[in-house]
Amino acid sequence: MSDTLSTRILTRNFSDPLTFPSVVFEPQSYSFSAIGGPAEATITAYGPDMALWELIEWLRAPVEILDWRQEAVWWGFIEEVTVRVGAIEVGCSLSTMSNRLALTYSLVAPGSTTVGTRATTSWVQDDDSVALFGIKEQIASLSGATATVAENARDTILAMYKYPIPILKSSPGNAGLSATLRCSGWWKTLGWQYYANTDTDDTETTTQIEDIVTSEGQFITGVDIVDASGITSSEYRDGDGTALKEIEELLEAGTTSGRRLLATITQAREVRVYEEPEMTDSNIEIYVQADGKPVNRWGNKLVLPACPVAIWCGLKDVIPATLDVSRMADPTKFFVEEASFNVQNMAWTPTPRGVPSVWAIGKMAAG
Amino acid sequence: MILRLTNGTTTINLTASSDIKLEEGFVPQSPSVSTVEFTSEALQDGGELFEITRRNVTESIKVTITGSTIAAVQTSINGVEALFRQAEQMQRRGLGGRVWVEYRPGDSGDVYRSEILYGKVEPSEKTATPGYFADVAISALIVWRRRYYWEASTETEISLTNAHGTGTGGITVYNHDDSGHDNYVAIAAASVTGVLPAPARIEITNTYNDSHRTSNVMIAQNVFSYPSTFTHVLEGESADYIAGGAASTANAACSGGYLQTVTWAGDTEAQAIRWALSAAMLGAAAGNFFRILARFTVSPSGVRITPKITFPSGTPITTVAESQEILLDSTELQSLGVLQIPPWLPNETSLIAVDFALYARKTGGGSLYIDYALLVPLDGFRVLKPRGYGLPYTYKLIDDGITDVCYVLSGSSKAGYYVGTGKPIALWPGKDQRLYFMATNDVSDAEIERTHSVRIYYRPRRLTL
Repeated sequence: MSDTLSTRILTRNFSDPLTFPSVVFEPQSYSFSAIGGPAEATITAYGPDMALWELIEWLRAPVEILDWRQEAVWWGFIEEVTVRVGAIEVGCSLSTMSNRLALTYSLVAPGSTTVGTRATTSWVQDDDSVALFGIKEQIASLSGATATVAENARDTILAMYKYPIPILKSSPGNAGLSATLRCSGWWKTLGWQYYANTDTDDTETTTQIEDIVTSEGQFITGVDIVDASGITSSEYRDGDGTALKEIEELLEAGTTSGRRLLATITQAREVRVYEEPEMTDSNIEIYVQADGKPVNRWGNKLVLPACPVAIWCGLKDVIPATLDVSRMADPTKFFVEEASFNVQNMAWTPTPRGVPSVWAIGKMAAG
Repeated sequence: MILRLTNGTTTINLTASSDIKLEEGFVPQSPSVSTVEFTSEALQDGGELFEITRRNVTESIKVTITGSTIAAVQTSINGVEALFRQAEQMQRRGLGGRVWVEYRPGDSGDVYRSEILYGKVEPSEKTATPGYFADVAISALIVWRRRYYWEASTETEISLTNAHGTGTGGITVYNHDDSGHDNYVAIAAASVTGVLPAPARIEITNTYNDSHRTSNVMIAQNVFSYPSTFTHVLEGESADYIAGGAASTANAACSGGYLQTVTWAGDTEAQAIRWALSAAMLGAAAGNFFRILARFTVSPSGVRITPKITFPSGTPITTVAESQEILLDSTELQSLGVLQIPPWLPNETSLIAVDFALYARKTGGGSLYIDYALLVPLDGFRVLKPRGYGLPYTYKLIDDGITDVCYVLSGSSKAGYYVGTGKPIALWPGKDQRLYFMATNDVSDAEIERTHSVRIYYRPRRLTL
């Protein structure tokens, strides 16, 4: 365990830091993605049992992990809290919650034996849950129903899932006193709402991304389109897809330069959209050496907790010059599509694009 | 020799008291060391040590406990066990108060203490033999686990120096640094004794009589970037390049007495302002990490800034390092990110100069009104933020790294609404060092004339005695 990383948890409205005087937070690991920036983080909390149980009340609270320079190396929100006291584990997760619901159904009118066209109920929400956690939508479905049945089903599902549902687990023989915070990046919250647009104009894809984020990014403070795509398409959306799905499809369409669009969310919760950097020697930011140690372009020690992602890496002294690479993808360079950082081992693990990661860079041995 | 257990109220002498006597000599153990080593399996020799940490220490002493009756002996044992129980409660719940073992090897000198984490009393088998139990005595092993370090049992106030005074009792720091004003306190190497870096108790008194309260306070520490040589302030009016070419304007509310306006056009990123970092500056910086702060007298909200190091100096052909692009908000004093300076060849001297520049981006161009930029070293960095209220005039903000608490003191009454992030500032023994103080007020301004009085206390720390 490194004592160089610290955790900061804020109130849900982002205004003030929360204090947990008796609790010690230890980040365990976190990850980034080229699409979305901060992805996931796991933090273990230690302290008196009463203080640990309090953590369950802070789902959706913003979280930042800071390195020894007080630079935020990961940011997001608490999505799940699991408290372990002795042999009992109680977990509570926002992933089980939906506080705004509509239901699609195939209409069967009374007196008819024919299943008619698809219909959708109106949206209903639980205002208390929305005020606390934000809007988290779900479109449920039912086949062969009347409007009354569909609306009743909608209301029933909402009543069941409007709050996070606790999960209880018993592990007899186990003993422990800790809590685990599973955190997700703000990019994930773009999947909390569906996006519909009845306009059919031919619109640049990056403008569409900006419009979608502005419309459904309830926790997003702004959009920065660094590189416009130059590609246009219809902006019509039927509302069956979440904002996240629509945005990621537009990113994949890329730019007129033939490169992908990437996106990240900054610490200020601004979505930044930019073109993937070109693969050139001058764009290589990190070199991995034969001894496994990564260094920056000047040969300096890398600040591994920064968990670099969406960059080009090079192998410095691994592949001999005798290898003819003219008829294969250059094996000396790879694009970091995802990356994770394990705090215990101080290990940065990049996942090259298109290839599952098989190694950890900078393997550490505890002595 | 002094060897005793105490919680500050109850003290149990473990050496030559009437009830408890050492059967054998006691020498504190040194803590064992854990390492995290960078290895490359079987293909390479050697490895790099990435992290070195020390473990808490388990020790024991053999004692004879006597008394007038068996009950009296048991009371003595129970007294020791009660203190251990208090130590356990402190670990488990953070309540009940700390317990220490205090030790001094000789008949004179400083007494040191180490916090007890838990302990136990183990009567030995000798107790069943003649000369012990029946004769109202118990032979026992007192075992404890304590912190890996010893710290002085009394606090020492550190002598501080800057342009506004020298000594203890409180030194004034301003909220800017120019000729005649310092925003730091310097600590001489000889003022900090011990072996390990020792957490400091920093007392910051708001001495600025104004209706606006001090709000956020940043404390940065310079140990390894030649504190007496390194220049941490870059005045706007001293820049080597100004976008738009405007002359600086006199402004009594600005550091150095001047304000610098920069203006650029277009939607793309442009170099806004640039300072040369000389060979001397780079040598002093020594490859450390620095947080970049800047003061803007007019809200720069909506401007995006990227701090960069460019080369060669005077002609920014190559960007050799850059921090993340930051979207500025309306506050006066803003953090622009972190850079390693110089970005290459750490610990080297005779380096060719490079430039430090702020690149700006805003649709349609924009302007910045820059008072100064600060390069604050990150050998220690602490941010103290209030939950709402702030620090009124005459109130003290205590950042106690020794007990790891942060609170406001009004008279003798405390309130805990300040939250500190970052490791507590620790003073390095035998090293010249500086602590820099930067503050904003409750409306997010950073007036240059805002003052605080600073006092710093510490307890020297050692591994062995």
